[in-house]
Amino acid sequence: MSIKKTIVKSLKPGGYFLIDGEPCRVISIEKSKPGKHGSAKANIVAVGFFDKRKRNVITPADRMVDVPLIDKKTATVITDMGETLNLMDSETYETYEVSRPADEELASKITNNVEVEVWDLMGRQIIVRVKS
Amino acid sequence: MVTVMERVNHIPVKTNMSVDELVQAMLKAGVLGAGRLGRAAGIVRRMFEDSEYFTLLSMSGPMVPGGLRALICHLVDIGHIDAIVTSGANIVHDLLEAYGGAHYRVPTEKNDQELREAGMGRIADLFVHEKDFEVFEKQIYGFLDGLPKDKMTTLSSSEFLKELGMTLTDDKSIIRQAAIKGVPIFSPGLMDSMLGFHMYTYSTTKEFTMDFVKDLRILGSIIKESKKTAAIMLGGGLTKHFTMGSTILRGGLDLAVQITLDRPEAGSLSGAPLKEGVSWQKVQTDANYETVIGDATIVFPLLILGALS
Repeated sequence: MSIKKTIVKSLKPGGYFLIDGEPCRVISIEKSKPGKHGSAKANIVAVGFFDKRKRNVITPADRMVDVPLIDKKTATVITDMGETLNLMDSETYETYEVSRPADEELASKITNNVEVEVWDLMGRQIIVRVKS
Repeated sequence: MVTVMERVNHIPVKTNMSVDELVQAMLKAGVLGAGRLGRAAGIVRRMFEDSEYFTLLSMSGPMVPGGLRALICHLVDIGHIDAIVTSGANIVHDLLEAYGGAHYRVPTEKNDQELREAGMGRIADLFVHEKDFEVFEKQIYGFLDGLPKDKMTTLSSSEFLKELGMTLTDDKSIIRQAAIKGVPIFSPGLMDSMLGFHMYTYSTTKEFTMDFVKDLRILGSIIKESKKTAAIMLGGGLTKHFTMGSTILRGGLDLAVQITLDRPEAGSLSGAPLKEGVSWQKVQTDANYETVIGDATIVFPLLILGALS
């Protein structure tokens, strides 16, 4: 189970929720009072975690949305295979492959033996930063 | 040379006249508004009695909030209306009642600022509670949540309204009756309504679009197959033009009645006489038509109850 449900009005900047199946990070959330348009609304600006695309969501504040459960792990880079990297989990010593980060600045810091923080969400794994 | 002169027959003092008798009396008066109404009722009767006419009802303005919901629903139910062309507002207001809401007279002592604070949206001398709009939003969202993926991006307004109509439980709803009886409802301006608004907000969280072009194909092929076309037009605007324009490939409407308060001086279609449509091939040169100047909430019940008798 990689998803849980939460009410829109509890979302905060920095939090994550799914928009049309894509996990997105909340940048800002504004609320408006009920009116002819219906119930109180939340106007949310968010950015996609994988596609980096900005999205603007307007939705009733009492609606339930899906929130991805994020498993944050540490790993060491074992082999750089170009498009993909071989990592070893720092706790379980399991090895797994992840894609090279799209972000140029982050990718440039990755060499063999560096420690990285990996986020596991929606069945996908992404290096979010280099730790050492 | 003898000129036959049709006399103005004064409307008789007969209490307990039926609507039909009153409208007949107006026909016999034959002039001004009464004459127009009398002749219009005759044209509408022909539309209803001759099944070869494909009859469209066009409505703009607060027809549903104004008390005409039951009459229109009945006409759909008994098959006298073959298609509806409507503003989004009339759809929304029909749905508000279908979902348990209602329309009320504005209490005379309240001004608009007080109405705003009390959550009462005013349409002339009637209003709707904001609470009813909150229920409306929840119901529409629930309906959209239930639409299968292939229908989230491919439906025209008439297809969407048919799907929606089948989910309603209020038998007095125009949209429900139309869905059950297979009477298409076209709403070319549907996005300009609270229903359109909820489609917009919903679409910020999930892919949802409508195919408005498809409705022209749907109506186009119906009109092409029809022997004769007729229209009753309440108000003007987008829906009047859409209705008239739908017949352009066959030279225009054969029968037409319009009820309007709009003036012709501005040149807009809303206030234009039906005969102007002849120049556009939107009304046949030998068509029978009549315009009644008046408030549809007064004229339409007289017209329909007169024609139904």
